[in-house]
Amino acid sequence: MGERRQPLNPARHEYTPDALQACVSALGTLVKAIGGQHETRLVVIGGLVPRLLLDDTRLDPALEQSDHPGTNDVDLCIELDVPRDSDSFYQHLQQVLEEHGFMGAPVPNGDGQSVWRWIRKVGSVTVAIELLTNADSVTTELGGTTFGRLASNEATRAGDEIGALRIRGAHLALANPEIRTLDIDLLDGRGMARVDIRVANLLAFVTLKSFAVKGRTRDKDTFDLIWVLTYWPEGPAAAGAYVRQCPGADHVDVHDAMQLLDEEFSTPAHNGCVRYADFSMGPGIERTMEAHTLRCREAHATIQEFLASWKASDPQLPLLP
Amino acid sequence: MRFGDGPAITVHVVSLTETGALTLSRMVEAGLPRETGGVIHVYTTPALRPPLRRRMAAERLSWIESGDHGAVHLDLGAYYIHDVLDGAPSAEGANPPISTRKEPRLGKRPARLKGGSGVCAEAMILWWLIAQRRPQALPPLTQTTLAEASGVTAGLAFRVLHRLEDLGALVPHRVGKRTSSWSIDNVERILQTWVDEDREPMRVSRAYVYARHGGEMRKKLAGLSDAVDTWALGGVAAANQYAPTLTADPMPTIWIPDHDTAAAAAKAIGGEIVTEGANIVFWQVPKDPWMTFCITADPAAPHGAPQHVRSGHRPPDARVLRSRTTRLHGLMNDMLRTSPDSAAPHPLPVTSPARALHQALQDGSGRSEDVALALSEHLGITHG
Repeated sequence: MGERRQPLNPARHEYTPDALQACVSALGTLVKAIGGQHETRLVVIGGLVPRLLLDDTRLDPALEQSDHPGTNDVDLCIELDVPRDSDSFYQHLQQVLEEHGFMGAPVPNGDGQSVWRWIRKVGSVTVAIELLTNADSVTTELGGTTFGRLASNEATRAGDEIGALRIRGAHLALANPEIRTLDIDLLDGRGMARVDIRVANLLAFVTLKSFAVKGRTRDKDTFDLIWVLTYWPEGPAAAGAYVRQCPGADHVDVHDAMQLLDEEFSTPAHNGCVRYADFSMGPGIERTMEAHTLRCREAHATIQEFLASWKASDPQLPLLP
Repeated sequence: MRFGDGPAITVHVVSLTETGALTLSRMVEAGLPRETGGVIHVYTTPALRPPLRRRMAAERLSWIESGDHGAVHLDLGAYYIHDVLDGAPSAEGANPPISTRKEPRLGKRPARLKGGSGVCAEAMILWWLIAQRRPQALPPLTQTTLAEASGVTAGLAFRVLHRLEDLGALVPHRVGKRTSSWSIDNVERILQTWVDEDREPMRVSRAYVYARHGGEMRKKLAGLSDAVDTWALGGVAAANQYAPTLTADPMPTIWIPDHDTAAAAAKAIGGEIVTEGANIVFWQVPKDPWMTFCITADPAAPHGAPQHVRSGHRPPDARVLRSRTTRLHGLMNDMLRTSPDSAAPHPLPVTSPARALHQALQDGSGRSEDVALALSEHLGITHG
């Protein structure tokens, strides 16, 4: 399989329990502060989904322990396609972020601050809240003209300093989220609160992660994906069958995502598998080529089991090449 | 002891050459002293395997191994000597030659404990294990009973018995000038000799089978029965099954018949042969000695029901088969009713506890030494 490359940043050891705790606290604080009818417009996607979707009560009981490293940021999918009179939501969101000490992250290699990436320090951890929204899948093929562009100037004029990054498939997260009720330590010593968190369902998670695996270089995207499919009750084959039954499973975004997944994990030597192996071999794991190859095989087998079940669940669906 | 104009060191040589490696491991674990009152102990030992050497070196113990391979480790404060001559097992690998005793001539064919003779050793260890629990249950250990139990010729059983008698592992019971039977006096020596000598070259095939956890792997392994007549979990994985020690399931090592192909076996359980990144290993060896005391799960029995011992491999005739089934094999069933695996959702066929221990001791890698120690304690195999 050739010489092993160094994992792309951030590496596994950079995801710490403190960072995860800080992210959960920031999420809970934000959702609680937004409150009321607006909280339905926020759905968690990204690296926080695995441990919310599969909390300790939902992990496959056959697997004894979870080793998901958590996340360093909170990805929130927000609903932009709303009537003009709901502009107050965006004003409110910006106000809540600022009131809780978040500020737009400096734009790399540029002037000013990001409108979609907000940061603050929580203890020694810098927590980032990233706001994302749906890109029109009809006009935004990967690499297309509007993929990844800021939405702030296009979708809403409300809240001058707030916007969202357009990503393909986000509509799936907004459409049918799962709800997790958590007792969360709020930021700044405000005590604990019980908060309903909306989380992307498995279909949305797999679709969004598939686009992320293809479209960006973070190794952890592959790890999140494999981890969820592995720990899903009864494993990747059951996950494939479940996804097939979710509303929206026939959407072209889902089909394209599955195709990308197949390409990225086509053999143990393919890029997705190698990136998973690079990330998963964190501290305490002897980094040998043998162990690395074994993880490549795990990744390949996990995705192929998932895809085989997904395909088999709907014989009408065109088979992937 | 003084080297050149260096300081004088007082040492006390302690002979442990008659101590088995397992017992020595336990002594080290219990805190074998490095020195007493400023006098450093230098232990003379039998040939050691690399894991025990590493452990002793970590404890700053000093020792000289007997035999002709010249392994010396002296950690004397002012002086440090570590030397392993050519032919000795290296720190990284392999296998000491061994036998620490000068053996008498036994005629033209010394019965080294490998292959069929190894099966005799396996039988005697099982014999001893059963005798510890049900002393009256077994017939006397004789040339005939050993040959029947092991599926070997009486001549081979005779040579093995006399060899082990000469090694001090068996005590003969004589009627006049004739030896009527033997009793096992030092089971560890039988085991150690078998470990040292039974190094039949195996065909090793590595494979990958997708499984998220041990339970899934066991479920898939059940499919092996469609591809091969008989198979059994072996090695460290088998030892860990008898005496669970490792927190994570060790890589399964599976014995399959010599005449079958590993590729077909891998395919039968949804896997493939690989050169790198394996999570299962198939072993094959001529004449399949592992089969003789292989313990199979009874597919017809409900989970947790007693297992039964396979009646052996190519029994010479029906009489022998009955004999073997009703004596040693039948008693093994009773003994193994408490096997941790018997209640598992997918009980696997497994080599006998004696062979599992033998292979864990031979393995010499990773935590196999810990697994071997745990199993030997579980079985009560020690001497002195």
